Amino acid sequence: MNFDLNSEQIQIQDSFARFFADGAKKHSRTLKNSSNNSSELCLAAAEMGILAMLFSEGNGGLYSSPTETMIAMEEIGKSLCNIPLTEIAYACRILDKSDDFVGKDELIASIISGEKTIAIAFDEFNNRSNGAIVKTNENNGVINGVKTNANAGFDYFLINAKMANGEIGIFLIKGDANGLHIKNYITHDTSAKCNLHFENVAAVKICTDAKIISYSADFATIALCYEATGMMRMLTNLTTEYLKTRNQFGVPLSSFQVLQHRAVDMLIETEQAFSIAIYASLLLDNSDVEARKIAVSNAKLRVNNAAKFVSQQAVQLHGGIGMTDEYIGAHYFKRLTLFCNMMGDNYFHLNRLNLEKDILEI
Amino acid sequence: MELEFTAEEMAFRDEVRNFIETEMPKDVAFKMANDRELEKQDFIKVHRKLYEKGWATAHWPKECGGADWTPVQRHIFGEEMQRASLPMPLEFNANMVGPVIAHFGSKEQKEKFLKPTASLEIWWCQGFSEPGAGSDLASLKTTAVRDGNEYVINGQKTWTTLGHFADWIFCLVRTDPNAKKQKGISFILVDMNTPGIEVRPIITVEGNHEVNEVFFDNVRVPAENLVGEENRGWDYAKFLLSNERFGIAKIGVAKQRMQRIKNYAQTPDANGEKLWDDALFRARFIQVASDIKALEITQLRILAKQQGHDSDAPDPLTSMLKIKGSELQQATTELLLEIAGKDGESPQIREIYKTGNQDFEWLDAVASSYFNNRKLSIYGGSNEIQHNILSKAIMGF
Ligand SMILES: Cc1cc2nc3c(=O)[nH]c(=O)nc-3n(C[C@H](O)[C@H](O)[C@H](O)COP(=O)(O)OP(=O)(O)OC[C@H]3O[C@@H](n4cnc5c(N)ncnc54)[C@H](O)[C@@H]3O)c2cc1C
Repeated sequence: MNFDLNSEQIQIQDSFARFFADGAKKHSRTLKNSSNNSSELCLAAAEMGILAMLFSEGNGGLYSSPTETMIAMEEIGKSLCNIPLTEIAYACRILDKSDDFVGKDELIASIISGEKTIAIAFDEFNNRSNGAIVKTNENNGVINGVKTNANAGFDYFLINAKMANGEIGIFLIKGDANGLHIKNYITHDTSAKCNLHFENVAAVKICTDAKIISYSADFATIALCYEATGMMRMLTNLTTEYLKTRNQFGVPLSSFQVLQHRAVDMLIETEQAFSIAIYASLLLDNSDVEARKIAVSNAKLRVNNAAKFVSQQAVQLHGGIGMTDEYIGAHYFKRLTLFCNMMGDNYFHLNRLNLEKDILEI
Repeated sequence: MELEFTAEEMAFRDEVRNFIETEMPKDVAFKMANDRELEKQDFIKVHRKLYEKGWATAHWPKECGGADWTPVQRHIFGEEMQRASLPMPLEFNANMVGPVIAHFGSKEQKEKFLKPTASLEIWWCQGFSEPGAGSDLASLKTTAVRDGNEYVINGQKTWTTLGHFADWIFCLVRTDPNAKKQKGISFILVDMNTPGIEVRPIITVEGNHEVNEVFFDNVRVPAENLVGEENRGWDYAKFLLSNERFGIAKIGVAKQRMQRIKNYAQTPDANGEKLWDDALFRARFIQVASDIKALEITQLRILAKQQGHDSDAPDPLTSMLKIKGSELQQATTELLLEIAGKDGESPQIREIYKTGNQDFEWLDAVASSYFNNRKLSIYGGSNEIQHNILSKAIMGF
């Protein structure tokens, strides 16, 4: 048993940490315009090899395990970098395993190089539970419907749509396709999002294999969990430091036992979240699909609960300062709050676990 | 033991309900019901109507323009206002500085301030907290130095809620730098238009402008604006803070939000499914609902105890109301956020969906209100401080 990164992975971690915290500074979610020039950011990330890690060698990539991506996600979380790598990874893992289609190799090459960007657009209105609602439909290669919460400014989207036979297919859409109307907006965590309105948009079917889709969703879910654990680690550190430096009643706040214990609980939640995220990441490529699903849902549940506790307590222990938009902690708080509803909320994952018969075999 | 209100109290409730139904502005209620920010005029509209009816400050003593409402009447009024999604009479006026002036103010101060305070011709804000003096309020540093017939104030207040709307600010200032912490503090009333005052906005986490920093640079205030005796300000502040704590529980707001949560959860989604049918969700909902019920009874027990006791001594049990009340309000904003899911991610959501035929009105403020309501466990004496109060006063630790 060994939970340490190998020397190569440690090197990767160092360079990613530097890239996201320093190189990509102007894309920090603390800044109102952090979503500007996102294609530039994707290009820089591609040059770091981050997109190549999402494609297997056969497709010209460097995929060896989920770990490399998870390392990147954790650093994204710590630095609050405004890059939707979860949605990108989701699309790339599908594309990596998708059917062949005309131009597939060229498309993947352009994504790996950072020349083109791609992300998933699976959400629809009311879509609380990670893909349960798919009203968007495909008929004879033509798409109609509305997708919500897509990442704005991307060159390509993978969307899911209901096909004539009632099954779900994955389709490749160009961001500037005829008949596609886009409405942009900014979310509380300063993500640039958009709604995609499809009016007879031509699309290429690239995948109908539910196993690939569910694997990619699980991969993305754990990637997102790593981003959250990075954020929680930073918030816990920030709070600990604050308690040591803020004085009230003539003593540092850290001298009050109730606050010490609260900070310790933040640490425990963060470590628990990290443990279950590691566990699930190690099962992502496992051939036992049921075991993977259980691990992933366990992870998202645990990390959701930790995210809520850690972010709420960080605000609480900072007092008024924690409530201000100027304070960096507030941005972790907002992102961690939205995180809980991304890639399946508690209800979705509790229900998914409930359906797995082996759930009790811990 | 008797759970029901008396016949007179029931009649009073019906009267309040009827007045709200016929007289209160519906547009303000709509905004509040959707957790949206209110404008200055919204507060004023509601407050003035209540003032005309004699209800804005009815809990004040009769001789000060009140109606000597009993604690139970005050409770019923609050419940009904919150049930109807209306803002309470401006708390800074009605529950904070008004009662302080009524109890401790000079004859001249009462004549000058009580009526416009009751009618909201003067909008007050609360200048207590400072950057270095939050939970440890008594460590405040803003000074007021006597100079002839004036005090000269220097220093900084912060977190001043709606200070940008205010005409006057009531401040705690240090008048005796040599006395022990609590002893050298005075309570003074300051016109916000006095030269030397600067108000700067603080933007809170959800992006709204609700609180401010207030800077005092050689601000000269007539000595007659000092309330009560010099260096007795801490006593007046304690009196005021116990009033403030009482108002924070706002169980009616939590109940109203639960009603909305139920409605939204019972609305079918695009697949025709309802979150309400998810037993896991209903279990969460019921847990919160039963906690709210328990707190309602706790509050009534405290009220029943107060009824008939004409004591100004702060009841430490109100700390319990503050802790649970804030937690439960926060729990309701969490539930709303869960129902909204990813549709509540953007503060612009209403504009984006305005062409749709669904009810999107409630969505855009759901996350904002969750973020903003974290303040409830921080201000008015943080929940940790309320635990400290209970530890000492009730447990004897
Ligand atoms: C939105 C908002 C509106 C406000 N409006 C006003 C206003 O209008 N007027 C005004 O005067 N003030 C106002 N306040 C200020 C408010 O009263 C203070 O924020 C509050 O007293 C806490 O002080 P602080 O922010 O300095 O936090 P701190 O006192 O620094 O507290 C930080 C953390 O330490 C904890 N802590 C502190 N001391 C102890 C202890 N002894 N034991 C255990 N835990 C402790 C606190 O509970 C908190 O979790 C407002 C605050 C907010 C957030």
